Amino acid sequence: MRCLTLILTGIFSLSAFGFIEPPMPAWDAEKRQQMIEEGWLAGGSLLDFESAPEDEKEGPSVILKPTAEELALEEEDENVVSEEYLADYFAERPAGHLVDPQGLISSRNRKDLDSFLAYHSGDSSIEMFVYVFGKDQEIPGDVREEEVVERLYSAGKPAVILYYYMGAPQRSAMYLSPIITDAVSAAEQRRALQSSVYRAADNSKPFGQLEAFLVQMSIRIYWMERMAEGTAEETMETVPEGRQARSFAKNTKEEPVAAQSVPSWAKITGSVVAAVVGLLLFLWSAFMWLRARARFKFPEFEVEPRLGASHAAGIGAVISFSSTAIPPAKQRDQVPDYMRRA
Amino acid sequence: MKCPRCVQRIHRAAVACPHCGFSMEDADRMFGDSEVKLRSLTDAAGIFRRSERDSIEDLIESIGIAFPQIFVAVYTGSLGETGNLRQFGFWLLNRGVFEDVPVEKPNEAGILIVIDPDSKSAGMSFGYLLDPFFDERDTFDCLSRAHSYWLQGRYADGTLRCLRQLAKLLRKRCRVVRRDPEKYERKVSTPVEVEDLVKKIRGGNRDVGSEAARAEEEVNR
Repeated sequence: MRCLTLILTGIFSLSAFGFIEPPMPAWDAEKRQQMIEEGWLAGGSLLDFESAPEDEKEGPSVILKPTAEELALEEEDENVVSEEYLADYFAERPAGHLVDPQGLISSRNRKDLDSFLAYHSGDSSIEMFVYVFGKDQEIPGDVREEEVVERLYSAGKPAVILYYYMGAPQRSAMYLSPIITDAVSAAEQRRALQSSVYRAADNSKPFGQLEAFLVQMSIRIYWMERMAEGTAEETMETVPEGRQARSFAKNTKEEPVAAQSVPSWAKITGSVVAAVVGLLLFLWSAFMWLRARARFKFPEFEVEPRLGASHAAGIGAVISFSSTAIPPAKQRDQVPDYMRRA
Repeated sequence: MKCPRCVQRIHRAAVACPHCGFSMEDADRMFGDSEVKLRSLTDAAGIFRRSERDSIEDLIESIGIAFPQIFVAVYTGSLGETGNLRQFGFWLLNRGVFEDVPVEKPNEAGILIVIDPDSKSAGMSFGYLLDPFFDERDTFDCLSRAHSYWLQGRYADGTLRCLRQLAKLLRKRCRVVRRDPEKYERKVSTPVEVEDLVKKIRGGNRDVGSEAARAEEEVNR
């Protein structure tokens, strides 16, 4: 029985989907009138459209859905950087190297970043300015980044301007001040950005990503400096050891400009002194080790016993420590105890 | 070589002191003729704390390792009226059986430091093995290093200082002896008989027992 039901359901379904829709039954006007007069019409109350009020006849009012353009516009509005910050971002060349008017970075981390960027600027002939935005934020369309860079960074020390999106390093953008745009090839710029993004991707925390990104970028800027000076090759995949060793944490402290100002003779002298001290320490350790392992043996001679003693008759000194008035120097000449004054 | 009682020089192989007649028998009469069991550090006077005893024992052990033939012992005790420190040290090194000293190190190879906190004096005695290499001045040098500590009642510090100086001196002496062992052997070898000496002089200071001397003697006859 159940199978039969299923088969019938299947047949109806197929007929409903796959076949041509059969014509709907229609009332014959006379017959319908007759039925109404007789007093009953099956489903009449439901299908009696004519008796329905005017407003109901018109059907439910249709609410127009927003268009895709309108939706996109709304979304854009939410993510676009608020107008109140635009002036702080783009009005003039920033005083600090970190531009974060929205306060996306905590004050403590900001301090670290500031000191790192300040160190970089002191160390490098190319400054680094970082504009920090939220992960999904957009720069308003009326702000043209190239124009901003040209307007703010044409004068002064050459700079690399970075637009960094917290938590989304892959969205970062890099611009060079016009002075060095020609000197540094577009390929090198792209490589610098890519390697910085890769380095940032190694870290899972947003601030850690930013740190890693900036450290790598600082290294790449070194190559840009050389390229700008014309001393570097076009492709530079290797990084000098000194730069590789430079870490963010280190740079926030005093790694020092002072260290670079140490003259070479002082470095050589220091190295020599360190080597000599190391050598002496090594020799001393070796000496102590050998001394600890040394064994001393006396030759054994035949000694005739004295005073009838079978093992020993070696009479050594006796020293008195009863009084400070009798120092050892006064006791050098040994005398029998009965001759010594108390 | 001196007598423990009168501190006068005695010749090697003297059976008794030619000056006062002292011998081992006198010491036995004074302190007893039976063997005394003791350890290399015997604090009969109770002047060392436990930690101090440990550090002294460590140093004694390290000296024993550095000098495989020799052992060092420290005895502290009140001698009272029984006699002086030299005689007691002399007697104890002959009658003492040091339980923690290996059997291959007999008392001949011993150095004994005796400290008497009551009479406030300390002495050092040594066995026949060290006779050629060690003398009274050396022992005085070691003991005087401890004097200032012992004066303040810092017995352990003084003893450690004394032992370190002893080890230093032994090391130094050992190196010197290796360079010229004959010099030290002569100090303890059997004295040349008078007859041999006369023969040597008559023979023009040639070796008495040599082949040439014998041949010359034959010719003279």
